[in-house]
Amino acid sequence: MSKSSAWRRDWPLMLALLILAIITYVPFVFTVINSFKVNAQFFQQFWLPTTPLHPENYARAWPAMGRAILNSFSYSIPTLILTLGISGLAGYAFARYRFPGRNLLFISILALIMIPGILLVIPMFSVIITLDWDDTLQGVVLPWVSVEIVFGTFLMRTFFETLPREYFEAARLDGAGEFTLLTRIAVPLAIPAFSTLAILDLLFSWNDIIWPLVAIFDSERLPVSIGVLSFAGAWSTDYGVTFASYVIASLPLIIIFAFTSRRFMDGLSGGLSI
Amino acid sequence: MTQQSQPTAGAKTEPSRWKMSSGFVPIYVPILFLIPALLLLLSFRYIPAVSAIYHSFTYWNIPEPGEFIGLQNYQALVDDPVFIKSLGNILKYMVGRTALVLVMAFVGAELVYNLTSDRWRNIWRMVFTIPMVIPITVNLLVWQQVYAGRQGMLNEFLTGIGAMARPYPWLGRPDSALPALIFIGFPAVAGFGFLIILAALQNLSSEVNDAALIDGCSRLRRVFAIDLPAIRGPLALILILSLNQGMQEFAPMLVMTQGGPINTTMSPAYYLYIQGFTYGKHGYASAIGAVLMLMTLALSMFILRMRYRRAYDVEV
Repeated sequence: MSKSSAWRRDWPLMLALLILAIITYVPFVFTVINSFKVNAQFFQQFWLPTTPLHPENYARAWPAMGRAILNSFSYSIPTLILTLGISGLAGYAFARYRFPGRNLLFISILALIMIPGILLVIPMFSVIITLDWDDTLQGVVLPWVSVEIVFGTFLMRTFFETLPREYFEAARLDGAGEFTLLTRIAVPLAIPAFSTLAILDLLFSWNDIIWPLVAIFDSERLPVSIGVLSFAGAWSTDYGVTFASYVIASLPLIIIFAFTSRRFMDGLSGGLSI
Repeated sequence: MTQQSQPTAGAKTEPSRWKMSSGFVPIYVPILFLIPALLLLLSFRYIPAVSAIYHSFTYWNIPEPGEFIGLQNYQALVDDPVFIKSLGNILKYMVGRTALVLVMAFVGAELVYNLTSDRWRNIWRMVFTIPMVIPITVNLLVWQQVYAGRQGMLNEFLTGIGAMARPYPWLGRPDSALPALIFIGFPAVAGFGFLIILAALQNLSSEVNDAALIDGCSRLRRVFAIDLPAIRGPLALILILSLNQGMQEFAPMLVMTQGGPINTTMSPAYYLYIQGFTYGKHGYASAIGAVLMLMTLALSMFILRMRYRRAYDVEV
């Protein structure tokens, strides 16, 4: 099909998509534009940029938001590593070995998807209070990992089951042990599945509000998801600084996305169904 | 759930695949691999789940142990006007939100799918993926600014084009607060639903579409007669996820309205949070959680039933 006829066919769709995209992005563009204004400029000109720009809004928002971002990474990275490791091991065990109770065990893990997270927040709070784990790294991370490995195990099992048995048979004949089979054959082949899980896990841990709200009392240790909320509450009278804090809070994941966009989108869209 | 991109991964091929190796491996190997997962799930999922159900029958103020009081929490719930109100709210929110998300995700995905140019298809997919990495809290705060009575984007826009004479506090009025929460992120194309539906459409065989085209089937008719039935699996998945998420919605209420005005945006999950962590009534909060769980289970069962009744796209 020639270029012009393709365009003739596509333009109504492109126009509709453009309108949808504009409505989607306007609030965010507005936020970025107004993060460079002081209040007087904001009250005078609502939608458009004005000069002079006020990047010092960012300097004001940075101390609190920078700390929140560091906190978020300090929770999210261990969560990510543990989730990948534990889901990988469990998914591999389900996919590759047969043992008594295998199906029952798998179904009982999958059934956890049906339990509302919010129901478990109260007894989990009781657990971390008993263990004296409030305001600790493990008090945030381990419950998060326990949420993520349910879907993680399912995802990794599905993936490992697609690997041909012959790979493993051949390596075993060459004298490889079970652990070597896992680390040398299964894991390298499973990088795409691990990336998908990593992305979903990162989005989850970066966004979760309720568990940090319950498990962290020290305001210095709050992650971005809550840090931006309390910052916005404290600075609500200064629009520019508040908007700057929104932009700063959004940057880390946008930067990660910029470097991994292909993996990211493939990971999010992998053709899920029931 | 299955991964469509690996159609042979199902239970059918699996036994022959691994049978040969099974005899040689000592049983402690899989158990060893499963121990970390099971330990975590036991301590932070299974035991808390049982604990939550048990404590819904107690008077409980952490760290004190719960005191068994039978059905009193549940009786109190039935008589609690705020809780009853929150059930009605969440039903409206859940249905409204799911309808919006599902329809718009489908519309967005169909628009992108029907483009002739591969390059533009990828560009648009990217455009509607980026907003998904903006933190949820930031998204809610930005939308709070959209709805704000003073210096709100919606008001500035509507008064600017002359559609409204005076600004209106969308989140501050009982009749508009809940609809405002439903329309957060409008047009709500950018989301998992969009990506999942688009992936499902792109996995459909092009032969069917070509055949339909040759038989004189219009594009619009194809969307409803071929695409829609063919992707009922992914649609059911989004439906379940979206309804379940709606049922447990918490963040928009916490960030934007605190359940107000006059409880018109109170949700059961947010009410659970308030009862548990503001008033320390952990037993009562557990009872709210138990009701929420029963409703979630019933809903999921119902949808799965509908999805597999007379389903012709799966072998049962």
